[in-house]
Amino acid sequence: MPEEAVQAVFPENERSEPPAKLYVTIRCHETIYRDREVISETHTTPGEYDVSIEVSKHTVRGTIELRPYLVRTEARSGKGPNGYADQKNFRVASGTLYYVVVDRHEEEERAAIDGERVRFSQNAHLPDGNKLYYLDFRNESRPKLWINSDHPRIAELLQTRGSVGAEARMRDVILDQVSYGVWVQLLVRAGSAVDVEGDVEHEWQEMVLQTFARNLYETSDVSEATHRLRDDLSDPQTLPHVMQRIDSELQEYIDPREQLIHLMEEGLQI
Amino acid sequence: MTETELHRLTEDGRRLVGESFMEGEATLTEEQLNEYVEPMPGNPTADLDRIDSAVQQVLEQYPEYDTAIDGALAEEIHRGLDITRRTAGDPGLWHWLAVVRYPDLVRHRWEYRSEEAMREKFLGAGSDLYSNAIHRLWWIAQLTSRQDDYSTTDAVFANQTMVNKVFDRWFARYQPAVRAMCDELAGESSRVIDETTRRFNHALTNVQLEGLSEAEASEMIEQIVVESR
Repeated sequence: MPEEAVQAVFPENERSEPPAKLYVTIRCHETIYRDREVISETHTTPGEYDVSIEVSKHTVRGTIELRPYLVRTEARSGKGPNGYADQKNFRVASGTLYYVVVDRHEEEERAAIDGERVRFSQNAHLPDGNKLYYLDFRNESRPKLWINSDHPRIAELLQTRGSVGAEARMRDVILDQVSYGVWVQLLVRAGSAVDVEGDVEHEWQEMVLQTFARNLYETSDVSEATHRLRDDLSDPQTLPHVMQRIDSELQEYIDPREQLIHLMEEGLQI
Repeated sequence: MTETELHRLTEDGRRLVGESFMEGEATLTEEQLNEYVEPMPGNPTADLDRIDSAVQQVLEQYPEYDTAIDGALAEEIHRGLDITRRTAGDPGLWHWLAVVRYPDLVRHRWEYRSEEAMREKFLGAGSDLYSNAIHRLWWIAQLTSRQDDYSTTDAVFANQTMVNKVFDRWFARYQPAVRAMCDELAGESSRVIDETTRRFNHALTNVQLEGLSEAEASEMIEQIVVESR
């Protein structure tokens, strides 16, 4: 725990013996598990802490998240507000979020598309104007998603890693918005790339069609669904209808309402 | 007590669950299901006989869509399914239980209002505590019981507002907080429950949830309950 952190979050008269405890949270979404391992009870002074955490495999699956937090252990008495957190259990600092992969799913070993955050205004090959993102198909075999970090507040928000609070909720709403636009493009591109045999050339196209095609046509036969998607996309008569199907399926898949409701309930407190 | 090996419904098996099945107008044959049912990894077992008789009793004694069914079954399902969180975290288990073992129970408890809502009762699961009909009962019992003591679980299911308002929030995943919340809210009106869960959730924008012991969570919630009355 760096000295500067203590100076930033405790008033001067508390800095020699910070009334704080340090612990690591352990979270596993798949097993609805939240716990903590206390590393240091009050007082917690700056320095290095060796941490060893044992988590039973019986309690977790998928991925575990570990993150250190520093919280106050007592309310601060005395004069009115001075800009420092003053209540017991108030969070005053947190550290890097670590992921422990307990079970690796084969299909997750490699992301289907790459992503990178960059300032669009400083890269000639990226679009002008205030774009939020750009899906780059210059290399058709491996599309790349660029996120515009021109706006520092948006860039910072998209880097937050938490799962609760206003920032995390706002981030999830933005990510839903981006992913909707990205999936529409990937689906239309993949569907248009299907050849007469029903095959596609690239791995990402295969992944997109495997994921969505059957649901678009409510059939269990992926080959039939893929052919229908290709035919529908190439015919001006059926194009509007297939776009409507895609829109409906993506709303089911992304479920943008859910994150929006979280934002309203938790982030905006309305 | 006979232990039965638990199974899971595969992802592709979810496609078998259509509207007519959910409405109870069609059944799934063993032949249809065989291809999509597989043993759970690690071959866990459970006392399904115990759950079978509890379910049978509920089907005979409780009217359709009676919310009291939840309280009558939660403890029995939790005791019968003595499984680890790792096993319980596999959605395929809950899909198998709802679709293959106890579809009549799902239909008896939940009125068919829309395809989407009913699909959730059969095929929900994962970290959403309020989805799959059986998963929901087991997890709420898991989060609120203390060894052999199911009194908090019973209090929760005696009040549907509590089930809805508490278990729809993220803090419900942290056992010390959810137990404290349920104990403090037992016997309170719907308005107080609604207000308290909302205000506690709001307080968590500053307070780190996992920093709270059960006693600290109780103290904090007690104060909020007083202010909410």
